[in-house]
Amino acid sequence: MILIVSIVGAAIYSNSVNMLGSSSSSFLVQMKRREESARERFSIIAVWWNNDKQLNLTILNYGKIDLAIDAVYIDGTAVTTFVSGRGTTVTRKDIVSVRFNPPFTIQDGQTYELVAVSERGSRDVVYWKA
Amino acid sequence: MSSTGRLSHNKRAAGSIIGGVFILLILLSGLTFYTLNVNVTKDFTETLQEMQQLDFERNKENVEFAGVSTTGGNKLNMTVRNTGSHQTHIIWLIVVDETVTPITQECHQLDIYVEPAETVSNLPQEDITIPEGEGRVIQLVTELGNTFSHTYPTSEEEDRDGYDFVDSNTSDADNSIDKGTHSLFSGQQYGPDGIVDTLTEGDTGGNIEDDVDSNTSDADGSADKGTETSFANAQGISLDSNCMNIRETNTGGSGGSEWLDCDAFDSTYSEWTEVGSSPYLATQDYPSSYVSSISASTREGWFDFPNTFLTGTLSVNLTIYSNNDDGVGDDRADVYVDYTGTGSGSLVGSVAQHANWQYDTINLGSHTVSEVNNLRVYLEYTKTGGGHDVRIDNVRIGVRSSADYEIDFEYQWTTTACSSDNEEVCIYVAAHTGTENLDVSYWGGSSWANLGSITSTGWTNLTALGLSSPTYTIQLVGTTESSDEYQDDWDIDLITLHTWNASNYELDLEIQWTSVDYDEGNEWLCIYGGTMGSEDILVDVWNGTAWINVFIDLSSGWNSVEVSSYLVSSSLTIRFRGGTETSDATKDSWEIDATFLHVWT
Repeated sequence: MILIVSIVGAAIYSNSVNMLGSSSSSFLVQMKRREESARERFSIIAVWWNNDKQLNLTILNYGKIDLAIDAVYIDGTAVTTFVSGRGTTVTRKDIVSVRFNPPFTIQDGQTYELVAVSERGSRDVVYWKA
Repeated sequence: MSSTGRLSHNKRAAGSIIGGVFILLILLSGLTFYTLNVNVTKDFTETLQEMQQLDFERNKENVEFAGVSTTGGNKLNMTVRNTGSHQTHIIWLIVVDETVTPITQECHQLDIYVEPAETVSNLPQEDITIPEGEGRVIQLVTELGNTFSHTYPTSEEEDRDGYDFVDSNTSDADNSIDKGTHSLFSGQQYGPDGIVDTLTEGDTGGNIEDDVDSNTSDADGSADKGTETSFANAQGISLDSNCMNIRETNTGGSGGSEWLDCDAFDSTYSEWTEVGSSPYLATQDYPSSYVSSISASTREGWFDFPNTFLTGTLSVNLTIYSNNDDGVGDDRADVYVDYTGTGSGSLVGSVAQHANWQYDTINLGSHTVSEVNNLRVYLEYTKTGGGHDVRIDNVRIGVRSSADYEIDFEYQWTTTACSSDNEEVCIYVAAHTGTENLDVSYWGGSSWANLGSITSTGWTNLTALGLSSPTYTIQLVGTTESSDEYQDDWDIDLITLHTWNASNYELDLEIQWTSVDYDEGNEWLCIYGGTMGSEDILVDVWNGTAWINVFIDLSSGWNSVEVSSYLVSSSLTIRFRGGTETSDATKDSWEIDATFLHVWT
């Protein structure tokens, strides 16, 4: 009887701990991501278009956590050819230049929506007149 | 049987305990995970709140460019002002050159904190060169993620936007004279750019040089003596080598001498033996004509003389040719002289106490022509021991006319300061011919009182005693004013009254705006100080009737104060004032780099 109770109790306890641990771990990971994302702030402080057909985004990390730029969209079209800056870790208060070739021809005088997206999914949007 | 039942009962109890323990462990584990999750959730919530606060502050942040210019060497010089409601931390300066291909940008790290309403100038601290004639886009990036841009060079429209530099330093709102000086007023009208207007205290104690006003006064009712040329050359407040000459004039005789032999005898006293013809003593002709006596106390006279032809003050002596029988120390003739022609005469000396014939001379001193013309003599015999003869053969007077050079000039101030701590009559003698000194006196209302003497060339500074009214008169008189046969003259470059109080350095300088935008919601007076003197410098605002203090002292860097309550018209006047305005022996100065009104809504 004692043996049966011990075996059943241990099984139930083990299962409970596994369930709680799994649930909690998932929760913690989720919360960690959400918190990191919440602590992330960056701003496109300058956009430069030069005659080499390259755009240059100067991005400031003013959040509470390091970040890296993962993607850029121009009018919703993803930039595919980065020259520099993508994936570079930007520490707090630091700036990074993300240079890339636009996915299509930029027309002088036209306004474009530029979206920079961090690896955590945070984004900043500017409207830039070429 | 009972043994089996007890065993069965005990086993159930142990199983229940073990089951309870497992249940307790499960509950504890659940509690632990619950607590952990609660803490994580709490931390996340705090993070969200923190970031919300950051976003809130970011939205409230605002920085304005108060001035962007280039200094010497084309170095960028900026002034920024925090017009937001939170402290701003500027961490990046980005200078973009859009004039080149490809566009370039320089990123300069900064670490500047600007408090709300504070203005910071002379940014950046490192040298950033902008070539003359070129433009740049300048961005300031704050820690909160805001970017503030400015295009250099500043357009005129932007330049005027809300910043109104002071217009004038010629106002006089309070009808009081300025004290102190500006070194470069325009230094306040721009910047801050390192070009400053240095305000320096003026000495209101200081010196006053008051040159003599007049040479025509006659305080003592006596005529001037001497000659004077070019009085104006003794005026002025500084030496200029142009001199007034004053020279003694001859108030004495014309010069020359003569002997006047006795020419009359009136027999008033005729107690001596008279030999020859009257007047017996006209010439040296013994034994032809002479008088003699042997009887004690006998008199002979009066003997008269012709009038003199000389003028002025005359030096007179009486010369008598005589002898006695017994020689030195014995019988004699006492000589009595009267200068009026009607007097009884007075004893002036004795003659004839020698056995040989000789002239005995008695000096009668200086006399007028009238006294000489009325001069008469009688003789009285004085006996010593046994009586023996005293003989007089000739009596004559020697007359010499001496020149007498005198000088007496008055000089007068008519509107001089008379309540200073220190007052001196200062006379500069450039040249002097002669050896006589000049006495300097002041008129005390009824007589002259001596101040001192001029004894050499150069400056003679004499305490101006008796200077108690705006009118002050001095007299220059030669120190030898009788029988002065030498004519002196003096070249005087300057006669001045030097009055001064102990130094007291004061500052009182007005400056004014004449066309201010005065109906904005925010109106601030902003002053950028450079190197400041140790004395406080106050700033007052004129409210139309009185000065209202708005700064009790200015610091180096920015000084800002709200002045909306005084800015009620297009004109505004302020003044800079020293903190210590009495007994201030130290001259302070303060550098003001920029003064403007910042108005905005």
